[in-house]
Amino acid sequence: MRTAMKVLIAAVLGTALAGPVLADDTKSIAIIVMNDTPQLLEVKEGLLKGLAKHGYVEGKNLKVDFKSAQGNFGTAQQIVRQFVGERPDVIVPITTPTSQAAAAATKDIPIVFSTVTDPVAAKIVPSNKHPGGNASGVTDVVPIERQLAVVKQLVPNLKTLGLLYDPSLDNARSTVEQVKKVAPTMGFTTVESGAMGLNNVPAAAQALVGKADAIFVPNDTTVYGAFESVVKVGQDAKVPVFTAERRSVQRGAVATVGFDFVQMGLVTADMVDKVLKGAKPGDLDVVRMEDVPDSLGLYINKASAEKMGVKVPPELLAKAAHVF
Amino acid sequence: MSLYAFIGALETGLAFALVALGSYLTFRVLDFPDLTVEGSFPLGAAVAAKLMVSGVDAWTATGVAILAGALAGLATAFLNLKLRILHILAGILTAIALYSINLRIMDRPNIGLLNINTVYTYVEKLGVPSLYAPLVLLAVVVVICKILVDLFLSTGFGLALRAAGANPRMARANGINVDAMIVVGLAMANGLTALSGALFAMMLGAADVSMGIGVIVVALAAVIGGIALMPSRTIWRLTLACVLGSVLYRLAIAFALSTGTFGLTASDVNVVTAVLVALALFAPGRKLALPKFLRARK
Repeated sequence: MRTAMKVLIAAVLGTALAGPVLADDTKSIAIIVMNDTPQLLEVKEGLLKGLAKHGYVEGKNLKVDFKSAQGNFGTAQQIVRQFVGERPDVIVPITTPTSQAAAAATKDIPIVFSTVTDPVAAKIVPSNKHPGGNASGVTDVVPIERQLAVVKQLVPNLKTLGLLYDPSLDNARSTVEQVKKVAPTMGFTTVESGAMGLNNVPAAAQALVGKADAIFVPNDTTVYGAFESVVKVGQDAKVPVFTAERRSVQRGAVATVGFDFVQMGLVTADMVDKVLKGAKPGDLDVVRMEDVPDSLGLYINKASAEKMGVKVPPELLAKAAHVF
Repeated sequence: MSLYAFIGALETGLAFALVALGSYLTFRVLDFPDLTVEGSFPLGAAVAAKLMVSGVDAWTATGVAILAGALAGLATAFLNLKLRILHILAGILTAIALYSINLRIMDRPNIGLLNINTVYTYVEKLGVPSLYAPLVLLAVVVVICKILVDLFLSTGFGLALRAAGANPRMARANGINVDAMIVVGLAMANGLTALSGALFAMMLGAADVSMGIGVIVVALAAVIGGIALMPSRTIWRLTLACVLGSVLYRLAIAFALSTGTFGLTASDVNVVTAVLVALALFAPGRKLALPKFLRARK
């Protein structure tokens, strides 16, 4: 065993200084996600698809190093360190904590982040316009007024909107703050229910029954992880459930105005392409998904809506990008 | 593995070595399986981050973080000693309460610590290149903490604490206040853990409320693995084993992360960890290494 350990240590030290060798025309990108949730993997899928459109094909002229921190911050720190050592052409961190870790680890390798709700508040960039530095990217900031307008349209007598979210997620939290800010101007009040961790989602949804006329779920990987249980509560208690993202509508939410994560990956790929062609991230404005033409669509789940006691007017159905 | 990945493993290993030292105190010396660390690690990060963005300098913020961690340890001691709650459960209760408290402290789930003066910035100002700044500072802090723990455990008070852990009944019969030993041990262990959390957050560039997930596993892997690889009956060797255990654990992860090595990929990290810890436990000298409750019954 002692010898085995020595061999391991020797092997580790031996490989310590050996870096990867790339062909001249091959570009390399390094992608890190915080955990393996389907939405984040869709962003990655869209990113690779988009890069292929720009002529970078994985395995041909593009080297892709994709790693997940599996929810562990220590591992995330080590992954970004490893990326810095490999010196890829671009580092693409997905979600807020990995973007912060990447930005802390390097001041010179270009960073194009994705799926960060508020990069300025998270201190990843000093400003969204011409950020300077080595980082820019795509924010998934939710066009909240338009989403709430759909809720109002489908639940005309809305007095109290229940907000179901995981308070430990920065992305979810900042959406909730926005909802609370605009609620008075749209004529309803809000009530919050926090679900810390997947197992608490059903109870947190049930806690809103009787208190809220409708439930709104922000972009929240925890709640989406147990979303079927929320749909069930909504259908049983006839409380319509709305979300901030398309996939969950397919899974039973009434409706949303949103973009999908694959497309967010495509938009991220556009910026990565610019950087690969020589642009500096500091010269590229942070892209807000809602400013991307045709990125927003109305998604409706008619069958689920009816089970939750909502009648969808035909004119709205006609406007929808997709009816599930 | 590149130089950067290697340094990343060293610095992360050293940051978590402080948790390992704390867990050595509780699990091994006191025989008190303390799970408070899952909450006191992010607590240290949260307190330091909040103070730093409010304009307090990084050293003071770190100091307050240590005190906050010690308080968390006291809370667990209170639950265990005064309310007579089982030790392992007392720690779990404090840890889950801290989750909410950390959210309150930070007022949001995540505070970014980029472009702000951290303790590492001061080290950089001394002329250390930024790549090595965390490594240098953490090495110094870990060595100091390790020596302080060694010295503490060799004082009369420290000997009493070890006796309280080894055989509480005998210790009591000899006039040792076992409860006081648990209070001090938990406060120290969680102070160390909070220090670790604060230093790690500054390195990572953010304090996040989810940072505590898995900390206890990492700490135990370091303590058990380290001591199994370097079995000893001498305190300073055992604390050294904890520090080395933590660094080796991170090197193993870096090893698994460097794609292509033996066909391992990033998603194999956990299984590599498990194999490594299992191998360490299988090593000769395991009779000395394992705390009672982790030893397999024959």
